[in-house]
Amino acid sequence: MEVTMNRLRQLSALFTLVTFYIFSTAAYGEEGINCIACHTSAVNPGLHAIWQTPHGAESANNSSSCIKCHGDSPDHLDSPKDNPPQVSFGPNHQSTIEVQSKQCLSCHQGGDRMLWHGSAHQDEDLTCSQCHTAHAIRDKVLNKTTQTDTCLNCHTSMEAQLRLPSRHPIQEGKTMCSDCHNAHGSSTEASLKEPTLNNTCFRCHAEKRGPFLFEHAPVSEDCSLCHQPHGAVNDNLLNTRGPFLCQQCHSAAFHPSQINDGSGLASRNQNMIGKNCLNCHSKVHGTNHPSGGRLTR
Amino acid sequence: MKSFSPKVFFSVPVVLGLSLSLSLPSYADDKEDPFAFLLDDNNTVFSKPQAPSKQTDYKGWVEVGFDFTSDDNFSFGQYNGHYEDDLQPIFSLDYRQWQKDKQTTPSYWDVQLWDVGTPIQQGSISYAQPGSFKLTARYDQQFQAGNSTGRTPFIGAGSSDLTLPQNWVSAGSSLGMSELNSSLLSFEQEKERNKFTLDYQQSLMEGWSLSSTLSSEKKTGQQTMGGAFYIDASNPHAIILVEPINQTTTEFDFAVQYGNDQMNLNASYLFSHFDTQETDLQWQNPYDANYGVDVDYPNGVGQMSLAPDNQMHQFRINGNYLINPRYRIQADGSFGRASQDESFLPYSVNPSLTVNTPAPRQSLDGKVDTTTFDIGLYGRPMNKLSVNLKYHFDDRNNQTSRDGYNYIKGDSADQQDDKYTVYNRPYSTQKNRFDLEGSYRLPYQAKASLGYRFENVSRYNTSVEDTDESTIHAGLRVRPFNNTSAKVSLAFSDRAASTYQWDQSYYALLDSELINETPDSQRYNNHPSLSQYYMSNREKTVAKVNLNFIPDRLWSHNLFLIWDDNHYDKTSLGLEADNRQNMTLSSSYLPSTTLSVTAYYSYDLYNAEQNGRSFRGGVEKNAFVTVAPFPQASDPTRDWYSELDDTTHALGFNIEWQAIPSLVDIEFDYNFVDTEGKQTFNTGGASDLAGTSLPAIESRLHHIKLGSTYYFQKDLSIKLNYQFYRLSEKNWAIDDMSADSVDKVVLTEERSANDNIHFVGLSVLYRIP
Repeated sequence: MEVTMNRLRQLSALFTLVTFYIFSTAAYGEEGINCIACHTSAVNPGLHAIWQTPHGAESANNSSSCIKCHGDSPDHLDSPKDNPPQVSFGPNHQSTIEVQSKQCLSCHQGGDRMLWHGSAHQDEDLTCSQCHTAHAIRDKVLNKTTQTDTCLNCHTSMEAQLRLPSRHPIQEGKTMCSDCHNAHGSSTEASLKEPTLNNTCFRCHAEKRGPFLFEHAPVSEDCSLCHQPHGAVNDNLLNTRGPFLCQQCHSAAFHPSQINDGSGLASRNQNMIGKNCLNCHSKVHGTNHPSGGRLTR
Repeated sequence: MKSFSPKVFFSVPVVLGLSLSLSLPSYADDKEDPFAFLLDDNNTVFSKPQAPSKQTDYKGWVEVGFDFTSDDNFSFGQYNGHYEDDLQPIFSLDYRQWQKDKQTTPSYWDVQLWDVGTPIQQGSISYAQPGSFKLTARYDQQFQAGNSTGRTPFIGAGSSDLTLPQNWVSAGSSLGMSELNSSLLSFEQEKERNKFTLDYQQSLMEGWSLSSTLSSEKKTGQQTMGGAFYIDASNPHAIILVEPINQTTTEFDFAVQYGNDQMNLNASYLFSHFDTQETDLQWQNPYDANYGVDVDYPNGVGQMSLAPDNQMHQFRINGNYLINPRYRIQADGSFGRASQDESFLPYSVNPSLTVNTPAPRQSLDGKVDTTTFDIGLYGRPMNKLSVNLKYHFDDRNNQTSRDGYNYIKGDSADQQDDKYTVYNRPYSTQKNRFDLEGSYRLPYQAKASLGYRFENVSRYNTSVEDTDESTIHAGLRVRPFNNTSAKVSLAFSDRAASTYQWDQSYYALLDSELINETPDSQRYNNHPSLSQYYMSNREKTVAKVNLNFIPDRLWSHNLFLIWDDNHYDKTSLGLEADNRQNMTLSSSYLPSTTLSVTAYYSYDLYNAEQNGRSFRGGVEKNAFVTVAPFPQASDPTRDWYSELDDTTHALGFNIEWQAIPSLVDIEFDYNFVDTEGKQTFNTGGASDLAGTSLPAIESRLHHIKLGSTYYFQKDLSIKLNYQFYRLSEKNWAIDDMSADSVDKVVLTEERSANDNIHFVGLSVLYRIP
């Protein structure tokens, strides 16, 4: 009887050990770590969108893609509820900003991300995952029609500017914030993509590039001296309406210096009605006409 | 014999149960699933629908339907293609097909088509092997509907030759043109862009990659511009013209990149060529201004130059180098040359006008070299201390030659004596800027920053040669509680300008013979007391506050404030001060994964104060008399003061609700924007200066969107969209103005927008398995 009980104890211990081994190695597949053994599509369907993106391309539904971003995560495997993955991008467990950024930059450091360090967004301690979604078939921030929503999460004051009477087609998805700005950082002020502000504007408005025979000095220096690119109350994205905008820099004898007040409406002052100064001086961005010294030709 | 032990009896199932519970996946319920947020998706009414994350086994979707706009307009449909009262198709496609088999590197085809069959259709097709290469072809059509209420007496609007009808009756002013009103014809103001792009990216050997893009954009359409006949500035005879647009911009860029753990380098080349099919616009003179039979109607013709062909080459190298784990250096340099050599138009298109002195050259051969250089050292000397040192150089070197042009005034008179020759003024600027910034991480996730910037701008051929500006800025970011964060920043700048050379433009523009005939006290274009604000002394203060408060997991709030104040402290005439203030408050409420509510309110005020002095020429142009009687240019009673206030109130509200999860989604969106521009005047007291305020320029927009999606099958859904768009505008510059309202400007009778638009869209969405 005693021998039988001993044998029973041995068998039960063996059985327990084998059972424990079998179930505990469910998280380790043929390749070693098997994240999706737990994070199945039934439990976490959103995660599995990644297989339809380049991030999940090579792995064909196995875990090497997970490991590339989230690390081996041995502690998480041992005790998943108590320990987050080695690199976690949220929502509940966030690795430090440095750890998260380093992981993304290990592959995506070049190109547009080259000047990330020291950029405005990096200085604000933004992580890649605060704008980008790897676990989605389409990353919202890379899509013309949905990118702006992501930017407006922080740049709230732009929400109204983008709806002002004079504006770029940003709401319609025809112009994106990233058409002008490099959110990952650049050496140009306001993180513009081109070396200068004017060069940025000329990418879509090449007819303003010139050089012209007769230039208009503020135009050649900086488009934003007259224009508000995000949206303006005045036509043509102007900071101030004419003729007052022009009179900020022009006060010559006769009509340029004249007061253009309410009495001019009744008298139908040609400097105020219609296109105001541009009724005659229409070549305000510069002209190549040899008789265009006054920007009228 | 020992009795049966319960410890042994129960130990096996206990251990078994324990091992099972430890090794099985934790099936948390939806409320605790940390990835539950991925099940939500923003399907705004007007955005392109994305496959909900929960549907991950779909390759894409296709949407087919139609939509209807109730009225012609140029406001609602300004950029979205819905500018006409009509029915339009809805067809969009999003599809990605992977080829993944173990023998080859995975690759995919990706097709996206949006708004096919509409004026804003776009599409792309890509083929890629992730980590290897990607080839993309894109097409994008943009349409801008402009104010379509205008009318013109010209025949041939849209062409480069505008002529008047046979029965035209000319006069010295628009009021006398008896056939004007009966001659008016409607015309469209619209612009269309069609852009083809080919983009290629290739990964090469370890660390190397290249990319290249070729694009061609054709822009066509019409817009208005003013054109005048004149022999002096006191008596122009103008008319609003319809300008044709037919332009092509071709761009090519090529870049090579190298990266390893320590450094990244990028070298790129960009070529851009702008070509226009319309070099000029000619129009028949509608006036009889006593300028002579060859200038007045019907023989008089004016010619306006349009944008000339131009091109640009740009080389750029940028990169970063990790000196050690604490220090990094970044640099960016570029050299670009823009050139233009379009043949000049004649001084006048009117062959009857005498030209004795030809133009000094046949074409400009203009060249502008733009050189930029940035270098920055980014360091972390201590764990909590970051220091950045940066230098920026920016040089616009206009190498265009300077010559004299004895121009013809407004296609209206013979060429004048050579002393009336004017000279072109090629402008150049150079900027040097130094930045030193430091930030220090404080406890409780706080961070303090301090910085100094010095910028010198040198200008060639302008009234001010140099400006130097120093800026000190400081910031503090705190997170006193887990659910509260705040950032405050303050910057103060002081700009000093070199001596304002009020006579510089006079000497640069005019011929020496004319200058010598002019009294010293009148050798200026702009009044000597005028300061052009972008080159003048300035004190600038910018303050920003950004507060985030998340009281619980349901709510989040943000308050953003900015105060941007410029005071041009040495200015007596010109822009004296301007100030922009913005307050934006936004909140979101997410009570569950099926409902989100967001709202925002924004207030924006732009205030500007500018001064002028109203004066004539001749003997009245002497600006230096200090004792009465004053000529007008010296007389302070002739001063005028203007204050402009542009105010904007914007309000938005959005609800996205999975009314019946996985069955019905509803979205409601409302936006309200109210703008008002007011301008008041005061004068120095001169009796002929009224100083009357202007009426306000106003706009008010209500925009409601209501959308619903019914997922009646696993892969099939119906979407219904409705929009109401109400825009009313008032603009004294164009409202209630007929074509002959201004005696020496023939207007187009454009009206401000006053639109009530209903838009309905119905479509079926199929998810491709």
